[in-house]
Amino acid sequence: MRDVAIIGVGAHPAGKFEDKRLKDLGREAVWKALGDAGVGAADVQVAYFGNSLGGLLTGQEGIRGQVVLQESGLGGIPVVNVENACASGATALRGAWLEVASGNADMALAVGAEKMFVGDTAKSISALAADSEIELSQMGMQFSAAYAIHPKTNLKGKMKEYGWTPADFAKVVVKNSHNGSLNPYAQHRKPLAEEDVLTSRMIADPLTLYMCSSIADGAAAAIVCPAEDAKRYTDKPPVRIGAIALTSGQYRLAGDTKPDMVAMTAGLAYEAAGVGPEDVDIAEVHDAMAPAELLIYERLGFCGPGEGPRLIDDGVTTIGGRRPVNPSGGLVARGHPVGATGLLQVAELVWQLRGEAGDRQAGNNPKVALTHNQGGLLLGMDSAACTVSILLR
Amino acid sequence: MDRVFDLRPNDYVMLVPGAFHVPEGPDDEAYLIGSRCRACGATVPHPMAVCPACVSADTMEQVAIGQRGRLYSFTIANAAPVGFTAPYFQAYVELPEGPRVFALISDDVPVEADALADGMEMELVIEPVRKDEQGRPVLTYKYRPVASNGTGA
Ligand SMILES: [Zn+2]
Repeated sequence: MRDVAIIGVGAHPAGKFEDKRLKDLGREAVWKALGDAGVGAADVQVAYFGNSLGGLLTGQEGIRGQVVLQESGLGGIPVVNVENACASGATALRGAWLEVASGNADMALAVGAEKMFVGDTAKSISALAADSEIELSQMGMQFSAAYAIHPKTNLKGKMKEYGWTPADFAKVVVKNSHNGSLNPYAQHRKPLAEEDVLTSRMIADPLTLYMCSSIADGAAAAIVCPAEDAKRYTDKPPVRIGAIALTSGQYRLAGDTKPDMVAMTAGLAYEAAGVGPEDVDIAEVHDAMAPAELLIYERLGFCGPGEGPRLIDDGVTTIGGRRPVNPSGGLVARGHPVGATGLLQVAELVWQLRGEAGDRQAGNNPKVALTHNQGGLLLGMDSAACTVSILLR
Repeated sequence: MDRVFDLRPNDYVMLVPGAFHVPEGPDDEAYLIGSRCRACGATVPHPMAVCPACVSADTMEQVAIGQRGRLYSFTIANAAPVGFTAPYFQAYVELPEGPRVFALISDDVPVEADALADGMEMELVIEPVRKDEQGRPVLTYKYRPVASNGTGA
């Protein structure tokens, strides 16, 4: 396997862009990434395109990648369409990485794009539900409610077990909305106070409106090449891919004692990259519902069981802290255009590792970065797909 | 609506085809269609061909499951996908056989947080969630507390 570097990233902001099509969002991200890398469309030898909901929401059921890349001026090359729910973007980057690592290609593109505003909120909610096994979506499962009650997350149960309160969940939103207010790519730019979060509309007890990521349009892209070639294209510090671990859900029978899916995926990524949780300087994690960030801290090995709120209280995970988490604003503030999210995280961390993140630049001179995504729900109780990536400067 | 056992199979549609049994008469009972492994006993609350525990391809048998259970967790969803109307309950029910199954809650139960409590003994009912385009009831399985069995018929 060859060492692979990300030499360019680009993003279209997350938000509501009623007059933009999926191909407009994707094209903007692709061209920004090409410009950032200092390469042309003709230099790209293979492309992976991540999208999850475009079939149901835009009607473009097949060939979404070819459609977006044709609009971007890329044709003739292999285009691989990737659908992996909330992990689609990260899975696309994994494909591009392996193309270059294997020696099959010398320059690869990963794109994630999602168009969720289609003028009908119930339709968007249904499309999100369709990222779960059909027997669950047919039953009317609503994803925020399902997150609140699922045995893996069971928020009221965690409140009882750990003594967590709604104010602990609100802390995540206060931190991430502050970060989002500093991020021109963020969907929600308003910094929120604890009271704003706790008094916002109840979506599914204990989840209030501001604790839930919202519907968003958006896109992001990354260009990868062999690490030893990076200097040929760009003077910017290359960001090496240390690992991209991808797992699928395992059937969890009653009394299951197998390790948690996030912990297992993180373990694979740490091992492949030769780092441990203590080495991670900065992270972008999948806070589709704000309380998830607290559970993800422990599953990534950042703290012990139930200790998540303390990492925020002590300022460890704020942008000025020892290990900033979700400096972009995370899914709740930056936004969660499903198939784009993983690559939006990667773009943010590349900027952070290069010191280009502007007002929200982490103060700890980060060298080791981690992204985490998971999504989809299986009848066997696990998420369908989980990714943990390690990026290194 | 009519009692569900007065409905003939052509009179209704199933929200999740193959997931549950609709009673065919007053002496027949509703149940979930689960699967149990003859070799290792693993039990799942839905049809499944390969055992998730011992990975045998020819040992799974269909079983009636889920007539009773305990409420594991619940919340009220204030947003709904197409075909459902918020607010409505979402729940997981833990079955005596072990699995926890995603479920809706019977229309008998008022949609109020204090109408349910974790740990409650629950029973399976078949109820319509809506009518389809031809006016036929769309049936699904739901649960209700064992005590509140007044209006099901
Ligand atoms: Zn078995």
